Amino acid sequence: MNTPRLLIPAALIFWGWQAGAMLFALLMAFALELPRYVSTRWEFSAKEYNRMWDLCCLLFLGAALYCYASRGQNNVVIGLLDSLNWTERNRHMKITAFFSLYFFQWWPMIFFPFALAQAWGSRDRQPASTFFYFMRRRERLSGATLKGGVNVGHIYLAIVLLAAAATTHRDFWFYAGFSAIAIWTLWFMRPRRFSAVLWGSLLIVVVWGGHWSHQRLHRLQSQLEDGIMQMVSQWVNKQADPLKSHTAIGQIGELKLSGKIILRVEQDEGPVPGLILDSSYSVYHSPNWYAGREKEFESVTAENDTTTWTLGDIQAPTNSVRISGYLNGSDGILTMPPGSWQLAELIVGEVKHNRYGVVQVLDGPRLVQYRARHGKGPTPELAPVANVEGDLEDLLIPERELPAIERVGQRLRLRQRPTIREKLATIRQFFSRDFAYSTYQDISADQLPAGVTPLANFLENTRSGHCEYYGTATVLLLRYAGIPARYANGFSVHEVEEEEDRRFIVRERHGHAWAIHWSEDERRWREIDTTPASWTQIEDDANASLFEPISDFFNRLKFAISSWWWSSRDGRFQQYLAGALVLMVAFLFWRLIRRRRKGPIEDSIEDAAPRADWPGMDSDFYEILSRLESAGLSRYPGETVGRWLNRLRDVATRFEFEPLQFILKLHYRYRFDPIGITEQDKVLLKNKTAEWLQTSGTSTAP
Amino acid sequence: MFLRRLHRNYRGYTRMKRWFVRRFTAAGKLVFIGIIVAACMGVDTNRAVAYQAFAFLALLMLLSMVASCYSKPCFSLRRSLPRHGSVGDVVNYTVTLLNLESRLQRSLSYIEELKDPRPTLDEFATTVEPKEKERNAVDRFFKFYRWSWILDRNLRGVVEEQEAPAIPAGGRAELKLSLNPIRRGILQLEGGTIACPDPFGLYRSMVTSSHPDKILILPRRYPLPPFDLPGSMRYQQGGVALASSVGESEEFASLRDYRHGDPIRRIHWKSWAKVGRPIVKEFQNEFFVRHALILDTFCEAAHSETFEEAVSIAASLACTIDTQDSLLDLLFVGPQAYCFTAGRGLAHSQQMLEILASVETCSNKVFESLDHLVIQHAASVSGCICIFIAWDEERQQLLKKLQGLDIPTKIFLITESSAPRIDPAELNLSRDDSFHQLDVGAIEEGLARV
Repeated sequence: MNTPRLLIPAALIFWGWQAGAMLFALLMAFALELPRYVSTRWEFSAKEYNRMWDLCCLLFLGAALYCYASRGQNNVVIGLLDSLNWTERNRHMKITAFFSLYFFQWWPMIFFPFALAQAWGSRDRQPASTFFYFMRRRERLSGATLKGGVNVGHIYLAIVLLAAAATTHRDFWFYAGFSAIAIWTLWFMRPRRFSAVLWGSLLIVVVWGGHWSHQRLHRLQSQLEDGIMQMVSQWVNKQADPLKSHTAIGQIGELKLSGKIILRVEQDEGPVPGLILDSSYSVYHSPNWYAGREKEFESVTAENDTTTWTLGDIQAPTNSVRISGYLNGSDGILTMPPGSWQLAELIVGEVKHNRYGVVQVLDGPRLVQYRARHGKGPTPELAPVANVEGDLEDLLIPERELPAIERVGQRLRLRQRPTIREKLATIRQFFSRDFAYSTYQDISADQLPAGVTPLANFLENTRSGHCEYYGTATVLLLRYAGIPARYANGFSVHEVEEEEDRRFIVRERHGHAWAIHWSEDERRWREIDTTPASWTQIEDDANASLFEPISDFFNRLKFAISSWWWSSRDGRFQQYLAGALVLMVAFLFWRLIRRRRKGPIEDSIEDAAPRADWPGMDSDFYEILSRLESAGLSRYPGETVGRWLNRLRDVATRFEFEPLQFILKLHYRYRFDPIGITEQDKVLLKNKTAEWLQTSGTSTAP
Repeated sequence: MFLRRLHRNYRGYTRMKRWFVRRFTAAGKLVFIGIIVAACMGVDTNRAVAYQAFAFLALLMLLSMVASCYSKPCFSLRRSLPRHGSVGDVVNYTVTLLNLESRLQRSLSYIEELKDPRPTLDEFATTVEPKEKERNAVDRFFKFYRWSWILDRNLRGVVEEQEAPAIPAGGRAELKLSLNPIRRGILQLEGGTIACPDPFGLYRSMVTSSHPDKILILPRRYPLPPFDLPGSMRYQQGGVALASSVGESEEFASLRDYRHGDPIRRIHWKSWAKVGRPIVKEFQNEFFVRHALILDTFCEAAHSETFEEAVSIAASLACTIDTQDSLLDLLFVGPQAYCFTAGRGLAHSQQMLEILASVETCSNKVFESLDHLVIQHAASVSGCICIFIAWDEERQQLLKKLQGLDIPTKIFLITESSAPRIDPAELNLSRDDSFHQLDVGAIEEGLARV
């Protein structure tokens, strides 16, 4: 390490203090600082440095995947080590969202193996090829080693400091510690061009200014947050609000909805309901429906298993369905059958509901899967509520719509009908007789005569429209008849995906609106859907695309991957991931250790020495050289064998040099010709050498 | 329009990259990255304390940048640069810095300012990267690899930054610099820059002094084994003097009567007037060996490794062939057909290398122009050395013509290693001819086998 003494240990201890991993920090600090005081070094080869870096990358990816899958925790470092139960920890982890900051806290541990290799290894600088695979490949192809490189000491120091900055201890000591270590580092790298006084003075400005500005930054963030929250809440209210439903009533043209699959409904116990509910509304102000007065959400307490959420009392035999759908982010509104009183196997942070039967979830996974238990039991907690004037808001008819509703109501003699059953039957009959389903409107609200609303036009003139017209008109007619009614939004469940499994898919175009009315006898809300039954066929014919099978295929694929990804109910995924990580790390270590068994010195010698299997190293000609050298006729340094033999020709006349020319030529070919020599030539070389040695065997040293 | 925008963006990117690399020290780069990371981590001040680190680092960097503005040294420079360098051979030279300030200057670094390698819009639009067709559609569309390749190609040499020793007030310091030539051609140096760090050693101020200079980078040369060149001595009309030029500077031998067919310019008018019949001048016949070194420049691409290797081989041959007793003609086609002669005191191989340093590929002429040039000179040459970068019908025709003229020919064909092998046996070469196919990347090994 090229950092000043004790600097990295100090930074590690600082990180350990901030991240709550002091024991690990102390061990790591000791391991990295010790090499400064001992002379032993490991002779890691370039390949081993590469593997060490690969190991760090693997740890990095594994940790990132793990953090992402686990979705953060207040203190991941300690959380991972302390946790005993996968399921418990998973549930706990889902509470917080930003995994990346916690992932940062791991970095000193992730890159520790390489820092250790740098500290204990004999190589001072690591070439760029160690860190980049493509450079390794280029190096391998070109055969040339890249020059230069970096000592990772300061980079590791920066990683440790930034990891410490990823913690949440917002007190004076973080800034003090961070500044102290930064100043310590800067002192050793300051240019000698400037005096220490000037350097110190400027640094005081930096420390003071940094302290002042980070306080201002924090304050600014609070102010910005407030402002942005206001803006976002305003915007969100316009988009997807459980308290408001925007309808297409009064709009001209074709109503187009896509065939995108948004829900999957699976039979569990009992039949699958034909309609599933998103939310219900009680106040109509054309063209929107709004939730009424008591729209506040209340938290639902989970059962002991932490995944079951009971919304009401169990007072009826129940059926259940399994529903899977995507949330927009981690929060959203759940779709469920009317009369749902319990949601089971739902892994979310929080569940809320209100008096309109809307269920909201917070801190949930992207794909939410749950079992909804529903029945026809009484739900007194959802009974109609009175407005500020004391009137039941589920009986109010907007003044603009009242004339048309009164006309239709009088014509149907709704108020004169003695029983609720008759009133309902009359309304059903009214819509089934002269009305038709249509997704097209040829006139907009602006083009209607003064005093005529789009709903009145629908009821008295066109008698044609989509489900929102029928739902709204039914609600208002029921109210005219004195029956508390609400407008319900949801989906129709009718497209079977797999007949045997009783699994249904719900597309965007299956979105539906209907009316619900309060049954005083049963003490619950009941559905009344007056839209002509042919609407599903008309919607499918009008909006089904030719490419729908293809998009369905990809949708199923996405669903399968999402299901696997988010199926962390029992922590299986994390277990597999952790298991795979441990195996991979163990394999890499095993590879390193297996290589190391040869010993560091052997490796370096192996790298430096000529290879014994080079061609020609077993040439018999070397015996001739040994004979000549043993006779005291040594070669000068740098002298080629050819020149040497030529020189000896005049000096050592007792040896026969003429045959050596041929043998030498043959030897050179054997030694240096890439093609080599044939077996016959090898035999020839052997024989000629033996012959020469025999004839020169009696010669003695001069 | 899109190309113009791309060009502008890439120019900006390259400039920004250069600014970042030069202005920030290693510690400065680390702090810069630290600022970005801390900013990302500290976006939400409630989640992490990284915003505190960001405030400290950002202010540190800001102060460094401001402080660097107040430490700009004043100096002048003198450079002693050799005239030539060669690709692959490091050129050592010195730069003398004169401190014009009245205080000691230390912790300075000297950076050599080479000519801006960024291509012009026209160059960017017309130059095509050699393997651009093999790139994917996105790469071909955005042409970033083309930009990088042109930058790389335009960079003829690299001079490492050099730390300057402490220079006393009014004193001078001599720096030893090493220029590593990468490509042949003229390498232009525009000046020198003194980089001066700020008090924290993070950011550097730059003071550039203009001092234009240039050095000719000669082609890479390979060691060649001694080999016999084909051909025997040939009569050279006009002798050495006319070997490379036209004119009347010939070696006079005697006078004789006019014979039908003698050129009129050889009539000696004074003697005709004296004797009353036409008399012509006779010149001394000269016989010596003269070789033609034919360089194939016909290549579609503006730059090709094959062509560069061909130039290197031509340079290696020009240096190796003994021009004490023979002449060597370098024949190639550029903007026009060229023939340069060296040897026997006419010119040195050094001059031939200078020509080869600047030779470019020819894409606007047909191979026939080289054919004509060679045939024009064929009568006087003893042998030919052809360096081809392709082996097609036209080149084979040229070889046949040379064989027909009974000129011994040595052919070097430079190809990619993946190119098909040419069997010399199929070429009907005579005893004096030879054919060598050399692979790019293994030229030296190939030449050693010649």
